[in-house]
Amino acid sequence: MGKVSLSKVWKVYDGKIVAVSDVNLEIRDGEFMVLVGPSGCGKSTTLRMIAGLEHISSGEIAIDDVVVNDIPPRNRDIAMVFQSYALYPHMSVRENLSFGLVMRKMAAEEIGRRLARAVDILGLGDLLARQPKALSGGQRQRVAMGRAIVRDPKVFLFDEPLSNLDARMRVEMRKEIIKLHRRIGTTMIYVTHDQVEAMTLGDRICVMESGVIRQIGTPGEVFDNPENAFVAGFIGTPPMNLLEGGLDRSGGGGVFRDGDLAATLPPAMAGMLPPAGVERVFLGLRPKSFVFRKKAPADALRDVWTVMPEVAEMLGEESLVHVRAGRRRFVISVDPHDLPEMDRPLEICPLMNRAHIFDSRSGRNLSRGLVLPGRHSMRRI
Amino acid sequence: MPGGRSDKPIPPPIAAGGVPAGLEWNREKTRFRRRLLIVHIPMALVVVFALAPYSWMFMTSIVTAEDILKLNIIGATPTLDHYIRLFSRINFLSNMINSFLVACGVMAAGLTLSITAAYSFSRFRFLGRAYLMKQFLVVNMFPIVLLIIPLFIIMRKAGLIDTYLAVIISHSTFAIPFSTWMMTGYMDAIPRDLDEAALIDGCSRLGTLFRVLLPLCMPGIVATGIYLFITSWNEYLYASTLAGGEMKTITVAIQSLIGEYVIEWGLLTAGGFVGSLPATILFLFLQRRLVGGLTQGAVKG
Repeated sequence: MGKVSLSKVWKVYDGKIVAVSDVNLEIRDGEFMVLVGPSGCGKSTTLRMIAGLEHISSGEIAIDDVVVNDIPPRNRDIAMVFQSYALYPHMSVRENLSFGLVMRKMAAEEIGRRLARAVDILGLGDLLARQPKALSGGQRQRVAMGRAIVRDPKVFLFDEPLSNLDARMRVEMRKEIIKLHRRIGTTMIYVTHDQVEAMTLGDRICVMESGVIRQIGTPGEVFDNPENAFVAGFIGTPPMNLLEGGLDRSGGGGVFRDGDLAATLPPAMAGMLPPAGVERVFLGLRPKSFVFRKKAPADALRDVWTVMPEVAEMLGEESLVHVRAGRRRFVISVDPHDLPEMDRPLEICPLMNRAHIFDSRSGRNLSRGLVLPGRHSMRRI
Repeated sequence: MPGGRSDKPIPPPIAAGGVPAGLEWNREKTRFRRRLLIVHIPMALVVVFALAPYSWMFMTSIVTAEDILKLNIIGATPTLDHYIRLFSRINFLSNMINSFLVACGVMAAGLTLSITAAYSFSRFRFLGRAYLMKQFLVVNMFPIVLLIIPLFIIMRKAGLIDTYLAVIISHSTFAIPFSTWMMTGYMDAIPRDLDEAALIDGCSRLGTLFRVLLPLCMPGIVATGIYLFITSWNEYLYASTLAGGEMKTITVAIQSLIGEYVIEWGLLTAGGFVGSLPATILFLFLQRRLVGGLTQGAVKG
């Protein structure tokens, strides 16, 4: 078992700097939970409070319904993998792996058995006698994970474990972490600033900003139904375009207007908006939610935007074109074989069925949960 | 000399490529000349300045008293006369033992206190931390002479005059603050992640210090230990005021060879040479340990 619950958890430094405010989070047994957010959002602090490395200013953290606020890290039955790996430099790989078990006065036989299992899972066989300084980054990472596996803890904590690896190694280790989770099925809490890592690893993702949880949900939910403009602008590569403008409610429907740009909201979406009180909004459209005018379906032709393509980034499967419309700049995704000419006016149509409308003051998604044909839905395999 | 890599001139390469090889050779030569001028010659001067008095002392100690007075030192017949007199007549051995015991005491007390203090300074943020650290530095700025009178009074009240303890305590007063600074620096260089990993792996705070930090601080501990030992070994002022009677340390004993009318140059230099031996030997043995590099591989390198 490894259920972790945080209720009303705060972290305040020196009585004034709030690092984490009022975090409520339930992590189920066996779940892979990713805490993601930009640097300084409080995700690492939250993890360190769960580990017991950081004092909890107020609130409660419980592991398997036992409040651990005053239990030292060594008695919380957790294991942690650090960004820096934190291997003991004066010990061989074998000593590094067995250190936690020796400290717990485990029988040599049992230590041997657990070591063998971790070595088997991670393929560390021929490294056991080496010193950490004789290992490559990927190998150190593996040993750090092995040190957690042999402990067989209730909860695994990962603090940006892949940030120090090169891009290829990172993809490789990501796969291994997913496999590891499937194989041992232990609860894992994983902190990262990389939203791609969050999307690929997490059963659920917890998006944080300035010490506050902005959304908790499966990668699909977070991507398709962001609760607010922050999540929309953070998740996805590239993230959702957020265009600020006014909302024209005349005539019963809803039309987004910003200078020359106008976009007609589908009736169902307009119907979800509060009758009054919202004047300024963000229109959220993912780069893939635009089509060239010449290819637009009939219902999208209502709104035609003339934009100026400025830069194109070729990514292989798609090309990202940075365009300018009046004083706004945003990104659209196009087929690289159908690349528009740069610095020539281009006519595109927003696919408004896929749009999101956010209140510009609170950032809240006003169109959340809306189901419309063509609204894209990401499934998790 | 340092480097040693290109101390001897490199033979000109066989002219495989004609002119370019010759050019390469010329550049190599000017580079060597420049290094000779800005590195090797100044280094040689420093070495001469450091070693010349020492060698002069040694040479003085192995010639007869008459030769010393005639300043006939370089060509004289060597004799071990002074060394024999040093140990037989003035009981220099017991002075050495005194110095050794005091220095070991200072080293033990100093390491125990400075390691634990440095651990708190390096790992905890407590009220008054910065203030205390500053005080430790400020202590070093006062001339130690200021402390002699109060220390003497305290020691006499405590009945400690002419004991090892008196000298050990007095040496600790100025050696420990500095060694705490030294140790704090070494501990700061060890990533906190290691402490935290150990805390999660099952260590208590103290366990972390002994199982993870201390093994990694070894070069620092050795350096601090040597500093403490040598500081105490070389100290004269406190040793002579607080224990100048029965229990002379070598510095005090050597000083006592300078009489009102006669200076026993031979004994003085012999004593000086013997006195400086332990420190020299200590350095020779431990210098390899001083070159750290133990933390390699702890975190991404």
